[in-house]
Amino acid sequence: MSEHATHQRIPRSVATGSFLEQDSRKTAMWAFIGSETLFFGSLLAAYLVYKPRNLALGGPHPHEVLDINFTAVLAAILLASSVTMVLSIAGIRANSQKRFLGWLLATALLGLCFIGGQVIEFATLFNETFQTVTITHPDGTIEKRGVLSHELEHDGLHAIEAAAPAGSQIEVDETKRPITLDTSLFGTTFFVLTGFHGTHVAIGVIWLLSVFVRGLRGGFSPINYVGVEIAGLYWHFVDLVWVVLFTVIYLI
Amino acid sequence: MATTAVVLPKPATPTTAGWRTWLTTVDHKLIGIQYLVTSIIFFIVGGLEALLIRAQLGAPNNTLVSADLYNQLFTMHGTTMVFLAIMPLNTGLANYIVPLMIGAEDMAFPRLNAFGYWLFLFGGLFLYLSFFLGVAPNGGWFAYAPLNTCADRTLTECVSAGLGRGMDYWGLGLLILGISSLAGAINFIVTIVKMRAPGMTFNRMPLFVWATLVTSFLLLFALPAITVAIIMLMFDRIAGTHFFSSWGLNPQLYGDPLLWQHLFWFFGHPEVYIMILPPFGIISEILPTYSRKPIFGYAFIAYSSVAIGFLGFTVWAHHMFAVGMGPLANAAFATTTMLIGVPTGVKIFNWIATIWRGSVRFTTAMLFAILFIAMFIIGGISGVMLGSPPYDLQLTDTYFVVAHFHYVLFGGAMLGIFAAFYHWFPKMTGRIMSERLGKWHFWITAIGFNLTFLPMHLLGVLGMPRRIYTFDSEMGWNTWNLVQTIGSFLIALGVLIFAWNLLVSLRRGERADANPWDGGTLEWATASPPPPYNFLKHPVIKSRYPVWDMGSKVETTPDDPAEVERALAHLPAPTIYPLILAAGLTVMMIGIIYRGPWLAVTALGLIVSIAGMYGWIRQISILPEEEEEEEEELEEVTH
Repeated sequence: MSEHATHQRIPRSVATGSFLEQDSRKTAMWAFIGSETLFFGSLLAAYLVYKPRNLALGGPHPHEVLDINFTAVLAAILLASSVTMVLSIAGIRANSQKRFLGWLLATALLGLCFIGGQVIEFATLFNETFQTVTITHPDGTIEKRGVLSHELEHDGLHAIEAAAPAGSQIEVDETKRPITLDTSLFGTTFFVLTGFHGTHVAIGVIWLLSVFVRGLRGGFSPINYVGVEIAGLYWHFVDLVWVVLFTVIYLI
Repeated sequence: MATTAVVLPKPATPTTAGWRTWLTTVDHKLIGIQYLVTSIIFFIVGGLEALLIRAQLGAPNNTLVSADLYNQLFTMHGTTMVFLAIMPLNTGLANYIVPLMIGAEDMAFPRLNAFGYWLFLFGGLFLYLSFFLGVAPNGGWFAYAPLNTCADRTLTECVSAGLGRGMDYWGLGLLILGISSLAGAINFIVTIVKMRAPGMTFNRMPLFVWATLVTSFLLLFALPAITVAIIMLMFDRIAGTHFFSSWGLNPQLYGDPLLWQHLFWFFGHPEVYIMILPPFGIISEILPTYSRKPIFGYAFIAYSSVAIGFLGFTVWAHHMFAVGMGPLANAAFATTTMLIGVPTGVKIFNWIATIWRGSVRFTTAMLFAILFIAMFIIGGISGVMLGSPPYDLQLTDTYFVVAHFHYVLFGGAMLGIFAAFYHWFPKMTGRIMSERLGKWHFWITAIGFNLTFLPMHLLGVLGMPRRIYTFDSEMGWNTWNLVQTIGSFLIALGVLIFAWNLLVSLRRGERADANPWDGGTLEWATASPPPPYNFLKHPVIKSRYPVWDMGSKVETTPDDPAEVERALAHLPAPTIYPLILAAGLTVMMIGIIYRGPWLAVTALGLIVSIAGMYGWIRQISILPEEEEEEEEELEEVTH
């Protein structure tokens, strides 16, 4: 057999023999995203497992303390940032540095808006206090509820009395506890879960801005924009996580 | 056909050998050796801890070590062997061998690869720092709550009293090692999926490559669970949350210790396969080589690894039969546990069928591979026994369990890794390990291992609990414990001979040519040791054993110097930044443990990390343009 048939020159630094013709860095990003899914999955599982336990221990109900309308706006902002990210990549593909950089900056700014919104949300929760109301049913079963202090002051116990079976004994714990990491299981699981999502958004903003800086120096072109794409992949993933978190924590 | 020799490159002269190379290298082969040397050292340290444990248990009512030191010893022994010995030994072997097996010039991300190694080294040193400060972790390698927190005090009291720092070291150390493993897993996945030589389809990949691929996916999906668990643990220990504790001053915060167990074992059971699948792959390479037969049932072995990978995520709660999950959950997890025995059993039959009627050469590597099969069968069967809840309820937390996992992890993983050393040492060093010393190592290990661990089954059935630092002479456990202690020192002698063999053979071992064992996979088609660029040319891949297709004849002739120069110039440049980033991250962790003014250390670590990251990014930002120019040139040449 001739030399040519038995030997082959190996093409260097070219992905070959693979059904995936995409750039290695993108494949790596997908693998990382796969891992991140389980990361948020584990945190979310802990939140869900502790949700009934939190209520049983007299912690506040998420729907009563969370401002769903406000967070819906935040969710819309984050979803919009996914659209601007797509427009940014379309820009570089069309060889328009202006559109690419403009939309990229818009994405980063929307991300910053989201983080700002989350800071406001956390601060509002820190400033709220809740109290545990213990309802002893006539049959002896004990039910606990975490109620916001200002609602108790405003409405008194009317709503609770109306909902409880006749003849129930209602007791209000006078300790007012703020909604923080270490005052209820809701706070524990909620702040760790959404806090880690917020951290991911923050890292994403830094990443987008560094891509922006490199873009300003002409670092990307229609044939070389993988760096933008992988940042975009990460950004879309972080948005998608929020869609899930928003649904599970705020809506369900 | 048989007369055709493969033209091979001569090993290029090492450019700037010396300590600087070892700090900055991004060559997968050098990083592989760094992994192997470091983890062998950790293996020996973990072994010394085991010897202390056995010395303590050699006689009843012994007072060689205190109860607390004993707790530290078994915690560090387990943690070391799992995270600092077996896992990185597998990673080191895969690092060296996988790119060669698939005909790649390096890993997909050479700098990330270096980063993974440095994190592993610093993570290991970080864990051992606790030993020198006298606060080694003492809650066992799976660190159940309440042992991972401070049982009878509030957390704030506990931390301010300086107690329980050990588990901080444990948690943060594992976090560092987790990042290292994640980086490695992503790197292996991309490398294997995307960088195989033309012609090497998935179904022609060597089985060690298959095993590494599945292991990487297991790491990818299992690591987040322990990462989350450790993060929650750190919140419990630092921020006063109660994720895992249902005691203390704040009843309205009470979490559940079982959450830790679920999260830990959701990682911990796949972890078992992360440790054993690569040795499965090693065995699947060694048996065909020394039986001069292709592997029997290639597809079954490859796809049973995938099946084990999937099922591995469904069995975790069989570690928790005794915690009261209820009969339904116990039955469900018992079923999946029995099920996962099937693909494992399939492999055993395939291996035996591979040896059957082969022309077997009983080299040391082959002997270890055969012993692996025998010992792993014992470990597998005791595993199926423990997978049955009624049986498990009798034997949980006894020495039967200790016997089981040592048969799987020493009798399985470590014997496979020993076999790999004898098999691939010539490829890595150009010299063959002494077969004479190897046989001594083999027989002493075989006897010592069974003396140590076989009686543990019996002691477990007799009711000896694990993790007790001493026992009374009236318990009837004296004889077997003494036998085990003697056995453990035999194992140590075996390891000593192995280490001596490594050192002696490195200097004076018989010279090896490119293919000393007549292997069939691609790593044998390049020089021993391979040049930095691995291959310029290699055989066309038309089957699973491309070198056997060539009649196994492999000759080393010099390449065209111009091409060699070109290949060398194409390799990624050495860099110090992965080391700096890894060091920065580790330093950050130290500050987190001591908090207060020590947070300045964390800030320092953060600055170092940012500097490392910045340098790293700057370096890769410059490279692509150069690379493009080169590729354009290449295209011009080829067209």
